[in-house]
Amino acid sequence: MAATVIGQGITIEGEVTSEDEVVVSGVLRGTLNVEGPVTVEGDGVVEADIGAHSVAIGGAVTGNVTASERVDLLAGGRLVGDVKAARLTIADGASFKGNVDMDV
Amino acid sequence: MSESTISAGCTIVGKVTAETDLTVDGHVDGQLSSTGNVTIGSGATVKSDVTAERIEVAGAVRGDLRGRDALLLEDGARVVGDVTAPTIGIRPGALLRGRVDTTDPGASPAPARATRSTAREEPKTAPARRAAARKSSPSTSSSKAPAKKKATKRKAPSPVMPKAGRTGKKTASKKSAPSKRATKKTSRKKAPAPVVPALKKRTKKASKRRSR
Repeated sequence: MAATVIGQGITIEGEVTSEDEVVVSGVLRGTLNVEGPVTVEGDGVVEADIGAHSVAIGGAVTGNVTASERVDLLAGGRLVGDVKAARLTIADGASFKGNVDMDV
Repeated sequence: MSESTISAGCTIVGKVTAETDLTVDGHVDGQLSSTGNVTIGSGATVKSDVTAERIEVAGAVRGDLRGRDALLLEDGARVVGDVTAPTIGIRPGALLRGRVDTTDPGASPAPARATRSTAREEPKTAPARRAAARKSSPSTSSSKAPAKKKATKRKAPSPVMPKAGRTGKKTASKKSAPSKRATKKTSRKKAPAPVVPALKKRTKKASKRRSR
Protein backbone atom coordinates (compact mmCIF):
# COMPACT_ATOMS: atom_id res chain seq x y z
CA MET A 1 0.00 0.00 0.00
CA ALA A 2 2.24 2.72 -1.25
CA ALA A 3 -0.47 4.92 -2.62
CA THR A 4 -0.93 8.38 -1.23
CA VAL A 5 -4.57 8.86 -0.39
CA ILE A 6 -5.72 12.40 0.19
CA GLY A 7 -9.08 11.69 1.79
CA GLN A 8 -12.22 13.74 1.77
CA GLY A 9 -11.46 15.77 4.87
CA ILE A 10 -7.94 16.71 3.84
CA THR A 11 -6.98 20.10 2.43
CA ILE A 12 -3.48 20.59 1.10
CA GLU A 13 -2.17 23.95 0.02
CA GLY A 14 1.26 23.62 -1.49
CA GLU A 15 3.40 21.43 -3.67
CA VAL A 16 2.80 17.72 -3.70
CA THR A 17 5.41 15.45 -5.21
CA SER A 18 5.20 11.68 -5.22
CA GLU A 19 6.91 8.67 -6.67
CA ASP A 20 3.85 6.50 -6.32
CA GLU A 21 0.16 6.57 -7.04
CA VAL A 22 -1.88 9.45 -5.69
CA VAL A 23 -5.63 9.34 -5.12
CA VAL A 24 -7.28 12.65 -4.37
CA SER A 25 -10.68 12.78 -2.68
CA GLY A 26 -10.09 16.01 -0.80
CA VAL A 27 -8.97 19.49 -1.75
CA LEU A 28 -5.58 20.20 -3.28
CA ARG A 29 -4.34 23.65 -4.21
CA GLY A 30 -0.93 24.22 -5.63
CA THR A 31 0.94 21.80 -7.86
CA LEU A 32 0.86 18.04 -8.19
CA ASN A 33 3.72 16.12 -9.76
CA VAL A 34 3.60 12.38 -9.60
CA GLU A 35 5.73 9.73 -11.24
CA GLY A 36 2.84 7.32 -11.20
CA PRO A 37 -0.90 7.40 -11.81
CA VAL A 38 -3.14 10.12 -10.45
CA THR A 39 -6.80 9.59 -9.73
CA VAL A 40 -9.13 12.42 -8.82
CA GLU A 41 -12.21 10.92 -7.22
CA GLY A 42 -15.74 12.26 -7.54
CA ASP A 43 -15.54 14.51 -4.49
CA GLY A 44 -12.00 15.61 -5.12
CA VAL A 45 -11.24 19.21 -5.95
CA VAL A 46 -7.88 19.97 -7.49
CA GLU A 47 -6.89 23.54 -8.26
CA ALA A 48 -3.44 22.78 -9.51
CA ASP A 49 -1.44 21.85 -12.53
CA ILE A 50 -1.08 18.10 -12.66
CA GLY A 51 1.90 16.32 -14.07
CA ALA A 52 1.83 12.55 -13.97
CA HIS A 53 2.27 9.31 -15.82
CA SER A 54 -1.45 8.89 -16.24
CA VAL A 55 -4.37 10.91 -14.95
CA ALA A 56 -7.95 9.78 -14.36
CA ILE A 57 -10.31 12.64 -13.59
CA GLY A 58 -13.62 11.92 -11.90
CA GLY A 59 -13.89 15.13 -9.92
CA ALA A 60 -13.25 18.82 -10.41
CA VAL A 61 -9.87 19.85 -11.77
CA THR A 62 -8.89 23.41 -12.56
CA GLY A 63 -5.45 23.51 -14.07
CA ASN A 64 -3.35 22.14 -16.86
CA VAL A 65 -2.94 18.39 -17.04
CA THR A 66 0.20 16.91 -18.52
CA ALA A 67 0.57 13.15 -18.72
CA SER A 68 3.36 11.12 -20.21
CA GLU A 69 0.98 8.37 -21.16
CA ARG A 70 -2.76 8.98 -20.98
CA VAL A 71 -5.53 11.13 -19.58
CA ASP A 72 -9.01 9.77 -18.91
CA LEU A 73 -11.84 12.18 -18.23
CA LEU A 74 -14.50 10.04 -16.54
CA ALA A 75 -18.25 10.59 -16.38
CA GLY A 76 -18.89 13.19 -13.71
CA GLY A 77 -15.46 14.70 -14.18
CA ARG A 78 -15.06 18.40 -14.75
CA LEU A 79 -11.87 19.75 -16.23
CA VAL A 80 -11.04 23.37 -16.91
CA GLY A 81 -7.57 23.58 -18.36
CA ASP A 82 -5.32 22.32 -21.11
CA VAL A 83 -4.51 18.67 -21.66
CA LYS A 84 -1.21 17.44 -23.02
CA ALA A 85 -1.06 13.68 -23.37
CA ALA A 86 -0.41 10.99 -25.92
CA ARG A 87 -3.78 9.34 -25.34
CA LEU A 88 -7.04 10.88 -24.22
CA THR A 89 -10.53 9.66 -23.52
CA ILE A 90 -13.51 11.82 -22.62
CA ALA A 91 -16.45 9.83 -21.27
CA ASP A 92 -20.07 10.68 -21.90
CA GLY A 93 -21.21 13.07 -19.19
CA ALA A 94 -17.82 14.62 -18.57
CA SER A 95 -17.31 18.35 -18.73
CA PHE A 96 -14.23 19.82 -20.36
CA LYS A 97 -13.07 23.30 -21.27
CA GLY A 98 -9.58 23.72 -22.62
CA ASN A 99 -7.10 22.86 -25.29
CA VAL A 100 -5.85 19.44 -26.22
CA ASP A 101 -2.36 18.70 -27.44
CA MET A 102 -1.70 15.06 -28.27
CA ASP A 103 1.48 15.63 -30.15
CA VAL A 104 3.82 14.50 -27.39
CA MET B 1 -12.28 5.98 3.20
CA SER B 2 -12.04 8.12 6.29
CA GLU B 3 -8.31 7.57 6.65
CA SER B 4 -5.73 9.32 4.61
CA THR B 5 -2.15 8.38 3.95
CA ILE B 6 0.85 10.27 2.72
CA SER B 7 2.94 7.40 1.45
CA ALA B 8 6.68 6.98 1.65
CA GLY B 9 7.51 8.42 -1.72
CA CYS B 10 5.35 11.49 -1.29
CA THR B 11 6.61 14.95 -0.39
CA ILE B 12 4.32 17.80 0.56
CA VAL B 13 5.63 21.31 0.90
CA GLY B 14 2.89 23.49 2.27
CA LYS B 15 -0.04 23.42 4.62
CA VAL B 16 -1.99 20.26 5.36
CA THR B 17 -5.32 20.55 7.14
CA ALA B 18 -7.23 17.40 7.97
CA GLU B 19 -10.61 16.67 9.46
CA THR B 20 -9.94 12.95 9.62
CA ASP B 21 -7.20 10.63 10.72
CA LEU B 22 -3.97 10.98 8.82
CA THR B 23 -0.95 8.72 8.50
CA VAL B 24 2.30 10.22 7.33
CA ASP B 25 5.00 7.98 5.92
CA GLY B 26 6.52 10.52 3.58
CA HIS B 27 7.89 13.99 3.93
CA VAL B 28 5.93 17.01 5.08
CA ASP B 29 7.47 20.46 5.18
CA GLY B 30 5.24 23.25 6.38
CA GLN B 31 2.26 22.96 8.65
CA LEU B 32 0.22 19.94 9.65
CA SER B 33 -2.96 20.20 11.66
CA SER B 34 -5.82 17.80 12.13
CA THR B 35 -8.98 17.59 14.14
CA GLY B 36 -8.44 13.85 14.21
CA ASN B 37 -5.45 11.65 14.93
CA VAL B 38 -2.08 11.83 13.25
CA THR B 39 0.27 8.89 12.99
CA ILE B 40 3.80 9.57 11.85
CA GLY B 41 5.37 6.39 10.56
CA SER B 42 8.92 5.22 11.04
CA GLY B 43 10.09 6.35 7.63
CA ALA B 44 8.45 9.75 7.80
CA THR B 45 10.26 13.05 8.04
CA VAL B 46 8.08 15.88 9.22
CA LYS B 47 9.55 19.34 9.26
CA SER B 48 6.59 21.21 10.62
CA ASP B 49 4.50 21.82 13.69
CA VAL B 50 1.90 19.13 14.18
CA THR B 51 -1.40 19.76 15.93
CA ALA B 52 -3.95 16.97 16.38
CA GLU B 53 -6.10 15.10 18.88
CA ARG B 54 -3.79 12.13 19.23
CA ILE B 55 -0.30 12.06 17.80
CA GLU B 56 1.74 8.88 17.53
CA VAL B 57 5.29 9.40 16.36
CA ALA B 58 7.64 6.71 15.16
CA GLY B 59 9.65 8.81 12.72
CA ALA B 60 11.60 12.02 12.57
CA VAL B 61 9.94 15.31 13.46
CA ARG B 62 11.45 18.75 13.57
CA GLY B 63 8.80 20.99 14.99
CA ASP B 64 6.44 21.42 17.90
CA LEU B 65 3.95 18.67 18.60
CA ARG B 66 0.65 19.62 20.19
CA GLY B 67 -1.79 16.89 21.07
CA ARG B 68 -5.15 17.96 22.42
CA ASP B 69 -5.79 14.49 23.77
CA ALA B 70 -2.60 12.45 23.92
CA LEU B 71 0.86 12.12 22.49
CA LEU B 72 2.97 9.01 22.10
CA LEU B 73 6.59 8.71 21.04
CA GLU B 74 7.35 5.17 19.92
CA ASP B 75 10.68 3.42 19.68
CA GLY B 76 12.46 4.93 16.73
CA ALA B 77 10.93 8.35 17.11
CA ARG B 78 13.27 11.27 16.79
CA VAL B 79 11.75 14.56 17.80
CA VAL B 80 13.42 17.95 17.94
CA GLY B 81 10.89 20.40 19.26
CA ASP B 82 8.50 21.11 22.10
CA VAL B 83 5.96 18.50 23.01
CA THR B 84 2.65 19.52 24.56
CA ALA B 85 -0.28 17.27 25.47
CA PRO B 86 -2.37 16.39 28.52
CA THR B 87 -0.98 12.86 28.35
CA ILE B 88 2.47 12.17 27.01
CA GLY B 89 4.06 8.76 26.60
CA ILE B 90 7.68 8.24 25.66
CA ARG B 91 8.61 4.65 24.92
CA PRO B 92 12.16 3.37 25.44
CA GLY B 93 14.16 4.07 22.34
CA ALA B 94 12.47 7.33 21.48
CA LEU B 95 14.70 10.35 21.16
CA LEU B 96 13.47 13.78 22.18
CA ARG B 97 15.09 17.15 22.39
CA GLY B 98 12.77 19.86 23.54
CA ARG B 99 10.39 20.89 26.21
CA VAL B 100 7.75 18.57 27.58
CA ASP B 101 4.57 20.20 28.83
CA THR B 102 1.61 18.28 30.18
CA THR B 103 -0.15 21.20 31.85
CA ASP B 104 -3.46 22.29 30.47
CA PRO B 105 -2.77 25.50 28.55
CA GLY B 106 -6.07 26.97 29.67
CA ALA B 107 -5.44 26.43 33.38
CA SER B 108 -2.03 27.98 33.93
CA PRO B 109 -2.94 31.67 33.46
CA ALA B 110 -6.12 31.40 35.58
CA PRO B 111 -4.55 31.16 39.04
CA ALA B 112 -2.20 34.00 38.22
CA ARG B 113 -5.14 36.21 37.31
CA ALA B 114 -7.01 35.17 40.45
CA THR B 115 -4.20 36.22 42.73
CA ARG B 116 -3.84 39.52 40.96
CA SER B 117 -7.52 40.35 41.20
CA THR B 118 -7.75 39.51 44.90
CA ALA B 119 -4.64 41.53 45.63
CA ARG B 120 -6.14 44.53 43.87
CA GLU B 121 -9.46 44.27 45.65
CA GLU B 122 -8.03 44.16 49.17
CA PRO B 123 -6.43 47.58 49.36
CA LYS B 124 -9.48 49.31 47.94
CA THR B 125 -11.80 48.15 50.70
CA ALA B 126 -11.66 47.88 54.52
CA PRO B 127 -7.97 47.00 54.81
CA ALA B 128 -7.17 50.55 53.82
CA ARG B 129 -8.37 51.82 57.19
CA ARG B 130 -6.60 49.05 59.06
CA ALA B 131 -3.37 49.89 57.30
CA ALA B 132 -3.66 53.49 58.37
CA ALA B 133 -3.80 52.42 62.02
CA ARG B 134 -0.47 50.70 61.61
CA LYS B 135 2.03 53.50 61.80
CA SER B 136 4.84 51.27 60.59
CA SER B 137 3.13 50.62 57.30
CA PRO B 138 3.73 54.01 55.65
CA SER B 139 7.48 53.60 55.79
CA THR B 140 7.34 50.17 54.23
CA SER B 141 4.60 51.12 51.83
CA SER B 142 6.65 53.92 50.35
CA SER B 143 9.38 51.48 49.50
CA LYS B 144 6.87 49.10 48.02
CA ALA B 145 5.01 51.78 46.10
CA PRO B 146 7.13 51.36 42.97
CA ALA B 147 6.54 47.61 43.13
CA LYS B 148 2.77 48.14 43.04
CA LYS B 149 2.94 50.14 39.86
CA LYS B 150 4.38 47.17 38.00
CA ALA B 151 1.56 44.68 37.54
CA THR B 152 3.89 41.69 37.33
CA LYS B 153 5.32 42.34 40.76
CA ARG B 154 1.96 42.46 42.44
CA LYS B 155 1.96 38.74 42.96
CA ALA B 156 4.78 38.68 45.46
CA PRO B 157 3.79 41.62 47.63
CA SER B 158 0.13 40.59 47.71
CA PRO B 159 0.04 40.23 51.49
CA VAL B 160 1.72 43.59 51.77
CA MET B 161 -0.57 45.02 49.11
CA PRO B 162 -3.13 46.20 51.65
CA LYS B 163 -0.47 48.31 53.29
CA ALA B 164 0.64 49.73 49.98
CA GLY B 165 -2.91 50.24 48.88
CA ARG B 166 -3.75 51.91 52.08
CA THR B 167 -1.17 54.48 51.33
CA GLY B 168 -2.53 54.11 47.83
CA LYS B 169 -2.23 57.78 47.06
CA LYS B 170 1.43 57.21 46.82
CA THR B 171 2.88 60.48 45.65
CA ALA B 172 1.19 62.78 48.05
CA SER B 173 0.65 60.36 50.87
CA LYS B 174 4.19 59.10 51.16
CA LYS B 175 5.38 62.14 53.02
CA SER B 176 2.30 63.67 54.51
CA ALA B 177 -0.15 60.82 54.81
CA PRO B 178 1.54 58.91 57.60
CA SER B 179 1.90 61.94 59.76
CA LYS B 180 -1.54 63.19 58.91
CA ARG B 181 -3.15 59.85 59.49
CA ALA B 182 -1.35 59.40 62.76
CA THR B 183 -2.27 62.84 63.92
CA LYS B 184 -5.80 62.58 62.66
CA LYS B 185 -6.48 59.33 64.38
CA THR B 186 -4.80 60.30 67.59
CA SER B 187 -6.40 63.67 67.45
CA ARG B 188 -9.72 62.10 66.72
CA LYS B 189 -9.38 59.90 69.71
CA LYS B 190 -8.43 62.74 72.00
CA ALA B 191 -10.33 65.64 70.59
CA PRO B 192 -13.85 64.25 70.72
CA ALA B 193 -13.53 63.42 74.42
CA PRO B 194 -13.45 66.93 75.77
CA VAL B 195 -15.74 68.43 73.13
CA VAL B 196 -18.58 65.95 73.36
CA PRO B 197 -19.38 66.22 77.04
CA ALA B 198 -19.52 69.99 76.79
CA LEU B 199 -21.92 69.85 73.90
CA LYS B 200 -23.98 67.18 75.55
CA LYS B 201 -24.33 69.26 78.68
CA ARG B 202 -25.45 72.20 76.68
CA THR B 203 -27.91 70.21 74.67
CA LYS B 204 -29.40 68.70 77.80
CA LYS B 205 -29.89 72.08 79.38
CA ALA B 206 -31.20 73.37 76.13
CA SER B 207 -33.64 70.49 75.87
CA LYS B 208 -34.84 71.09 79.42
CA ARG B 209 -35.30 74.76 78.75
CA ARG B 210 -37.14 74.00 75.55
CA SER B 211 -39.42 71.54 77.21
CA ARG B 212 -40.42 74.16 79.76
